[in-house]
Amino acid sequence: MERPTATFFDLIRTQRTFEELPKARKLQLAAMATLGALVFAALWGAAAGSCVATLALGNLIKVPIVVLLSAVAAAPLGVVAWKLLGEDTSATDLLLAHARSLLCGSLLLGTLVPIVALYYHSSAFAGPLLADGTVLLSLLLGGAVFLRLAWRAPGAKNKVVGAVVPGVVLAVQAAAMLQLVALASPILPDPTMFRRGVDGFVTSAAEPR
Amino acid sequence: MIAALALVAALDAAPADDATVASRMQSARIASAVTFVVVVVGLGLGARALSRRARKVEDEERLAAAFREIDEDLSKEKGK
Repeated sequence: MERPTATFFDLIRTQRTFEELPKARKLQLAAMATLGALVFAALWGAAAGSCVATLALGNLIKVPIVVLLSAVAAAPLGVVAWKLLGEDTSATDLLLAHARSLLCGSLLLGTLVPIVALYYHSSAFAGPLLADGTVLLSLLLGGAVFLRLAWRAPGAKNKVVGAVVPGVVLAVQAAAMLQLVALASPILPDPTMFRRGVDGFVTSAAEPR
Repeated sequence: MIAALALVAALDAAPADDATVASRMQSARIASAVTFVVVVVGLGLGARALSRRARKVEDEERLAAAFREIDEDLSKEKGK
């Protein structure tokens, strides 16, 4: 009997479910995927802040903080709801799905590092737009991957639970991310609407036109 | 009644001034940096420990499968 293996690309393939692996191996993969996501997020942060050396260096730690702590903030609610509402649902499967979605989103950021750095150095208009655009794209990709993996999780027979729980986790993660961005600001050299967190939205909505 | 009181309290609540918010944010920055370090170290150490445990479980499964195979072969030979 061969020892079951999982490669890096298996982690980002949504068709792969890892059903055959023991629980400890799944949790190990979740931890490795999360750490991998932090590396790609740090690379993107350095590229996005590369116009200012101190910002680039700071972003090596700031962007991973935003990614990791937003996920940590959302995970407990997800695990409790997943176990409470599902019948045969496994918390390990949800955590692995969450970690793999983080890896997919961050990997997209990582693959776009050269273009983000290039545009930030060569265009005042397109650089910030591209940086914001890549973040939104990666959030969308990560969210879609999480929904798909949770939907297809082995124990998630109730498809409402399979869709609602990850949706709630993503909403909590987005809310946490907004405030973590405010704490970590400045991440980009140019001001963005996210720089002051939820207060930025409230103030800009209340300001007279 | 409670909801009405909560609504009045929420509407009446004065937002914290900028200095208070800045001070709170400074504390939150330190807390998030410390939490980040703790979680990353935990993930690293946890991954190593889980890898060892997973290898042990997988080896036990392989051993059990091998014994099953031997049992099946022996019972087949006995049948002959």
